Formats: sequence, structure tokens, C-alpha cells
Amino acid sequence: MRLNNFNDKILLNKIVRLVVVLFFISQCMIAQSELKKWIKLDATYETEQPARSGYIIKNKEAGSLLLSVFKITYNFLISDLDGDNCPFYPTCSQFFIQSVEETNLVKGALMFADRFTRDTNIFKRYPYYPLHKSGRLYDPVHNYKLNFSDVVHYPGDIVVQ
Amino acid sequence: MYNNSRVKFHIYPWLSLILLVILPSLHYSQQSFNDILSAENRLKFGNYLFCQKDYLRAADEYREYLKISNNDTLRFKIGYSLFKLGRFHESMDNYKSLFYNSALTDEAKLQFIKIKFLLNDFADFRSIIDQKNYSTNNYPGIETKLYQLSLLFDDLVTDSLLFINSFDQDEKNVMLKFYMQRKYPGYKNETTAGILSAIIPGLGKIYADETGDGITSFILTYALSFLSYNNFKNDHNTRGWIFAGLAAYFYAGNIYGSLSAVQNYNAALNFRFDSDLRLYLSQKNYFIHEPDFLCK
Repeated sequence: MRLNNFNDKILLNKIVRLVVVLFFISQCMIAQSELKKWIKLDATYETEQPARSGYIIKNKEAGSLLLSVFKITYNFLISDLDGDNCPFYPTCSQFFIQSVEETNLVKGALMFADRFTRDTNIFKRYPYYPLHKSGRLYDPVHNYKLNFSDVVHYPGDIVVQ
Repeated sequence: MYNNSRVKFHIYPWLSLILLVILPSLHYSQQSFNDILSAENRLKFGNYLFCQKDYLRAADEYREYLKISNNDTLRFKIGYSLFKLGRFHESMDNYKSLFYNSALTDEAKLQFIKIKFLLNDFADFRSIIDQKNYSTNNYPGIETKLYQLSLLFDDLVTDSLLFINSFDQDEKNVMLKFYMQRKYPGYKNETTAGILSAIIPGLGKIYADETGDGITSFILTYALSFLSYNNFKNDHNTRGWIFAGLAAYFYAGNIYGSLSAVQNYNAALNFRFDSDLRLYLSQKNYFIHEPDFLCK
């Protein structure tokens, strides 16, 4: 088809322009449409809480049973009511559990008494102890097992991972 | 308004003109791209990165250069870069490639020995020195110094004269100080701490330089003992026995704690000795004079 008429050419020009404009508009519309529409969400201000220890007796051996009873009693009567106050990592109750697990009940109990004394001394905090990445003071069990080869000195200006 | 006779769109001349501009420029840019990645440019760029302490990318550039041409200096610099990046074992493997038929054999062996020393397995380090496979021809004194220092770290120095005489005149005073520190570190005695804590609760901790913990221990034991005494005195026998038990428990814990406090004190002494000696050696670069091409 030949377009001899000037008005026909103008019309064709307009049609081409319209097609181009429609093409771009359709592209923009496709780009804007998403599979999932935006909706208003209610903000939540809850912070993630560390997992509670729970009152579960895992092991049925006599020693472990006794330890679990101690732990549950302490958690129920003191820790859960008093809150998360221990400045150390591991916390005093965790320290006691780890001490007993890594040594024996008598030695673990003595280690706990010593830890309790250190915890009571409020004047000795950072930088006498290094910081753990959890933000607490790092005071590990292996430094108090009376096994010199296990003792590791951590300078106070480091953050233990 | 449009004019009928003049509305013409001549696309082909314009298209030709655009193509004539674009094609030569593409060709030109491609040529210059080839120049950038030439071996010489990689070497220059690698040297620049090396001097800027960007060892990771410098090593990459050097490796690309080595694909085209062999160069012992670059192999040495790759080993050095890997060492700086903390990749000790890769670095040692790299230095090993210079152990034979190279002008940098001795320097590479020294770097190898230095890394082996830094790995802290001193028994293995001494066995390697004893084998003589890694001995240098021009720097036997440095090997002897590091060997003696490995003995000092492991507290195995038996002949003090041999130890001191291994070092240069200007190093002897410092080394004598470190030797004496190792020989007489000023450890505290666990038994003494235990006995002191048994006599007066907390005294063993004060002896182990934990004054605050010692005073706390004393107050805690004293308070519980007083509560026990006071309850017995006022005929509250049950409470008296509870406090007596707690006092005994913390009394025993205080003796145990004084022993562990002494161990921690002694461990801190060892730590400080190791830190001071390592700092000194690091400042002296482990007695090794590094080649000038390392961009110091």
C-alpha cells in the first residue's frame, strides 16, 4: 500500500507514536504489578528471647538425676524469678552444671562455691575478665579444674568468640 | 505545520555515520584492553598492589605473569604475600619451589624456617633444623638463634652459656633478661595458697594477687559463720546447722578457689612472658633481614 496522501502519512505517524507510547505504558504497568500486593502489616516490638532451660529431666542415671533436680529447683525458685542477672559467661548455674559434668559432684560443687565468691565481688569486672561475644564476662570452667595444662590466660582487652 | 515537499527522513546516511563512529571506537577500545592485560602491565600493577599491601590481589597478578614468564622474585613475593595473608602452609609450599636452582634459595629457606617457628610446634621446628635439609649456606647464625629460642619457649634450655652466646652482642642483654625470666618466673605455690586460705579464709587469694576476691571470700565465710554462731546462741539450732553447713561449704570452696587462683596467676605469667618475647622477636623480624624488593 502506498501512501500518497499527506494526511495519510500524518495519520500513520500518529498511529506509530500511539503504538510506541502504549508499548511503554504497558511495560510500566507490567513492571508495577507484582505477584503479591503490598499490604499494611502491624508492627511487632517483641525481641527474641533466649531459650529457657525448661524443667525436663533428660537422663535417668542417679548422678544426672540429682543434678537435674538441683538445676530445676534453682531455676524454679531463684533464676526464673530473679531474672537474667549473672554477669558471667557461662552463667553461674551453667557453670555449676558444666563443672559437675566435666569433673564430679564434689569438685563441681567446690568450683561453684568459688565462682559464687567471684560473682559476689562486684569490684572485679571488666577489664579484669575478657568479654565474651554475648556481652558477658568470660570465665570458663576449664580454668578452674586444677589442671594446669588446661588453664588458658585471656587478657582483658579481647573479645572471646 | 508540515511542508509536503520537505518531509523526508533519510535514515541510511545517519545510520552509516553512526556505524562509522561506533565501529572504530569499539576496535580501539578492544585494542587498549589487550594492552592493559599485557604481562608487563600485570607485573607493574602487581608491584603497585604489593607495595600498597594488597597482598591478595598482588599474588593473583603475579600468578598471571608467571603463566607467561618465570621469575623467582615473583615466586618469593607470592610466598611473602601468602604469609602476610596468614596462609602459612601455602606460603611454605611456595617457598619450597625456590629451594633449588634459584638465586633466592637461602632467603626462601629463611622465610620457610621463620614460618615454621611461628606455627608454635617447636619440637617439629627443631627436628627440621636438625635434619639440615632446610639449612642455609649464608645464614647459619639465624637458624641457631631460632633453635635456641624454641628451646626457651619450651623451657628446655640446659646450657645458659650456649644460649646467650648464640646471639649477637647487642642482643645478649635482652636475651639474658628473657632467660632469667624463664628460669625464675616468680610462680606462686599452690600449697602455700591452700594453707593460707585454711588459716584465714581469703588469704590464699590475696597471696595469688586476687585481693578483692580474697576479701569477698573472707566476708562471706565470716558472715555465714557468725550467723551460725548467733543462731545456736539463740537456740535456733536448725538455722544454726544450715548456716554452719553453708559456712563450711564456702570455707572449702575458698581453699579450692585459692589453688585455682594460683594456677591462673602462673598461667598469666607464662602468657606475659610469651607475649613479651614474641613482641621482641616480631620487632627484630626474627633476626631476618628481608630483601629490598619487598617494599618495606
